[in-house]
Amino acid sequence: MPRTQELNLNMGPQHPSTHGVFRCVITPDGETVTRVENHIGYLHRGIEKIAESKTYPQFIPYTDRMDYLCSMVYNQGYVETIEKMLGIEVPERAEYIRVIMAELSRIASHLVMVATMAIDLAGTSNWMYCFREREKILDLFEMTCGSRMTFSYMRIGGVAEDLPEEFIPACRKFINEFPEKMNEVHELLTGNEIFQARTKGIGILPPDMAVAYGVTGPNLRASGVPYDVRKNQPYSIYDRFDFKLPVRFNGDCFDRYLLRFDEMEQSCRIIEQALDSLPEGEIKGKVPKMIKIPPGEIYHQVESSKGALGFFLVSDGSNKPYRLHVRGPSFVNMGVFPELAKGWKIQDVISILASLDPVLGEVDR
Amino acid sequence: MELLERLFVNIAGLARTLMAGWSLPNSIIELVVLILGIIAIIGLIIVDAIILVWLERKIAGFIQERPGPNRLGPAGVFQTIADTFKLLGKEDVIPRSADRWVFRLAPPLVFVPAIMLYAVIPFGKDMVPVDLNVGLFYCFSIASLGTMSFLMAGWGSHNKYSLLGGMRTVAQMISYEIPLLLSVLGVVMIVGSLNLSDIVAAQKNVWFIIIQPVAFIIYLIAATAELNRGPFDLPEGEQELVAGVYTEFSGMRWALFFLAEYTNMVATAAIAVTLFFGGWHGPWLPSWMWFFLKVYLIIFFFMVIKWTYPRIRVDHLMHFGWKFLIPLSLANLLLTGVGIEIYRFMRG
Amino acid sequence: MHPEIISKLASRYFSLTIIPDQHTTKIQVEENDMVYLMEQLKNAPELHFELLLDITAVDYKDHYMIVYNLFSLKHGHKIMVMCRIAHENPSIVTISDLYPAAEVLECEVYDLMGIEFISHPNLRRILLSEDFEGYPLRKDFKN
Repeated sequence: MPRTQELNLNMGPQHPSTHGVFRCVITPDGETVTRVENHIGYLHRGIEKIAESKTYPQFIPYTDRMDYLCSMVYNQGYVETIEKMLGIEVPERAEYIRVIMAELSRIASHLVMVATMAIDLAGTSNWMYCFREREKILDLFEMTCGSRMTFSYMRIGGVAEDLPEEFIPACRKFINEFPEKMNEVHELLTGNEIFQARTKGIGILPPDMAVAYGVTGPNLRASGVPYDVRKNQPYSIYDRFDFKLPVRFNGDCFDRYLLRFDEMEQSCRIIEQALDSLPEGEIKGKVPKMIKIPPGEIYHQVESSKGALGFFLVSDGSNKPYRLHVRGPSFVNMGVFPELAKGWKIQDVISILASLDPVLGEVDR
Repeated sequence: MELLERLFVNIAGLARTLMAGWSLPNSIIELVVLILGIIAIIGLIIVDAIILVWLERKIAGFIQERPGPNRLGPAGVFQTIADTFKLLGKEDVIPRSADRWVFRLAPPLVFVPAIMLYAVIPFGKDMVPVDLNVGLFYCFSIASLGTMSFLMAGWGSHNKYSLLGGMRTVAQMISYEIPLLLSVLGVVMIVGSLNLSDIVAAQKNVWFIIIQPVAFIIYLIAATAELNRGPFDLPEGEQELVAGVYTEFSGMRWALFFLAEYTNMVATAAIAVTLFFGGWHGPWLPSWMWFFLKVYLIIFFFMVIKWTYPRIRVDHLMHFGWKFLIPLSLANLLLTGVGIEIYRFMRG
Repeated sequence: MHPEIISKLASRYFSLTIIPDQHTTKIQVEENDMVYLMEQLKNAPELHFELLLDITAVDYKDHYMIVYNLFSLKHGHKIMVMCRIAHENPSIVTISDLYPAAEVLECEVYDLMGIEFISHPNLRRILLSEDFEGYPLRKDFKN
């Protein structure tokens, strides 16, 4: 007796466009998706548990390995948490260098998002354009700290090394050329009819739903909610710079995609200002040899390229964290994905996932 | 020049005289010449595929600001040959739960209709392997056979991604076959014949792209969809369906699909040239050179489109086919009919 | 953040203590009042904490502390709510009906710390495999 049966389509953990090892089980009705279920944890390394057995400086390299696309911000968030607990003053120059690095990291991360979004919609050529630009940022990082992916550049109380002489002209050159290079992407992809048909009005995330699901970062701002840790709870020296908070109001894939470009523009502005007013001086403050933090708890937030990144640290007075919890922005952002993808086509699921821009190193931690 | 022009015709003639010298019966001579023609066509397909794979990589590299293959031979021309040997040496994997016969049959069945298309194409002056008087009709009936083998591949693989890919192929090919045929009908109405040689002969003075520009655009779009090439490569749909119908195929089986894609691409471009670009007509150069030049120009267009456009969504594809292309091609047909009547009326 | 609003709330509704802290507003609340407090924090117009940032838990060996971090987009203030729960069979009522964001965060706490969230719609091991034994972030976890 023939009967109809539900089909469960398993997407990932090995799949070309699940951005690593994300896995979701889709229940399609023809090409329309009726249910999506998230399965994460394929990259879980127990970083929070590792933290409990490492001294405070020893944990810095682990922060890199959470969001490997935007790791400077993770470095920054972690060392700032500890500095805040200890009450250490960071030298001016180090603060500026940190901001420059964090913003470059943000641009690099957004470039990856744009590139993967393009390639997930089969616009393969844009991948190369974005990665060509990202390569230049990685060159800048390599120049500064010798590493291209996992930097561990920031130290408690400052940064590891001063900027090399050739950094500033190279960075200025990059910032000046950048808008023109992004125009190439706009010409090839953003204006394309097919691309717009596949992203405009797709996967609409209304603002109240975004807030309810704790979505932060560019995804939230694309829904029209102007929340950015850099503006709302300024940390480091972000209150000194003049930059806008880009907001878009449709909350669809197209807006989430375009918002990344707006953010990159603003990041360029911040870097420009930081380069202009970069003071001379020390790059490392006075830090005790053995870092012991007085007992207490702290929750410190920074804005990573994916959203609000929080470090919750509990100290018992020893030289190791008693408990360190990391609020991964993509982890929380992914919580809305099953709701968001419901009712769209299989192909839309891919573009919605790409537009949310998860990075699995940080989702699974 | 004259020698080059008549090169292939002379070779065939030479073979005929040679065999006539051995006093073979006429029917056997024709059979041998036909077999020679088939061998030539297969050789042409393989050489074409090797050049096209290389060309595609180079064009993709050019668009994406990278060198493309550049290690093996001058500008990497031998890369495809090396890849072919690699594919030949690969393990042949058949999934345990696959429908073995359907799975095995699918790749050759995709490839065979692709070759059969070449039988009626006029490659140059007096260079038609088989001069069928229903040539165009034959072309489209053979071309639509490919659909079935895609569905076989999708079903036989026993893989959900393959099945979804197979379903997409069928939906896509059926929807785009109609505008494809309707666009061609305008040309047939003007010429009044389905014979491809007649169609080429009718374009001696003016190419049909000037008389039938809309039909050409419809043909090009529908043909891209029929070829499953980007932006219409939904059956493969790498980003959604891993590799669609090709997911479970490996080694030479996969290579056959790949080869069939390029073979089809050349055939489609050849039909486009025959119907709209005056076939082998052209000054100075030998006719067959003109033919291949035009074919490669159209293929270049296919490739540029593939590497610069994102993939269309499946329902948009259907909407576009049924709600836009088919009405447009019907309107084109009507206009052509009216135009022909007016023309006849003016000439009395 | 205005401490007086918090103290007003404290006097009116529940047993909450304000923990002095130089960085953030911290309040501790009894387990029984937790959901009610959360409702107030979310819905009271002068508080309006609509963004749940984080839920986590700390194992203090004799008890667990659940920590909620909330942010108000309207007023721009943040708050840390702590809630002490017993060490034996730790459990607490879910707030995922108030804040859908809590769904995944509570799953994570359950997965790594082993705290049961009562009436959670889909409590499962989110990061570790289903057959994993023990809760790794507990202090008494042994490999």
